[in-house]
Amino acid sequence: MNSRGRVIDVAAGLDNEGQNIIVASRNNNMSQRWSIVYVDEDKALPRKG
Amino acid sequence: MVVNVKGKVMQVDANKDKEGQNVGVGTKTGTRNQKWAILYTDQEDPMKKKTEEEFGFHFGRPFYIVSQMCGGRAIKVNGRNLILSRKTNSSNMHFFFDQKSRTIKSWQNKDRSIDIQSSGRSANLQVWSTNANWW
Repeated sequence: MNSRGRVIDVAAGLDNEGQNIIVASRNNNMSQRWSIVYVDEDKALPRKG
Repeated sequence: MVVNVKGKVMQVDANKDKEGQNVGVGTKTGTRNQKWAILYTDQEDPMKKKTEEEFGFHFGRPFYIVSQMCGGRAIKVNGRNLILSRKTNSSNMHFFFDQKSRTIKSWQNKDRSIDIQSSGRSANLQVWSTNANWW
């Protein structure tokens, strides 16, 4: 959340490939919920070598 | 606040937190553009002492910003714009926190930070040359 109370949100709340990212007033919808996943701890992607 | 004998206070003009923005005086409003801290040059900037725990990020360590919606997609830099996309190991999906500017920067282009378009007046998010702080 920034100093004006706005949060990062997925436009229109649509979980689509290429959907735009915006800022919006907080409403606690899932489209405003994010996880920080550190690249060196990410287990979802296969690693080479 | 820094107030003169006529009650005028020192302020950042037009309330714009931008590099090169003019500093003037105005009638007291109590807004943040009229609030200042005096930092003696022989004292360290207290912001530099803030820890990773206080900021909530590791400094300089790349991460994904992953949506909690069902698709598990993450934020990707697409040109200058930010979009939702399937997570890959590409650097355009990696971001890091920079404690000096207190912004989230793109790993792909490390002199750009996540930014609200049109100096904070738009709803759209983009990456832009780091110029100040998160609006």
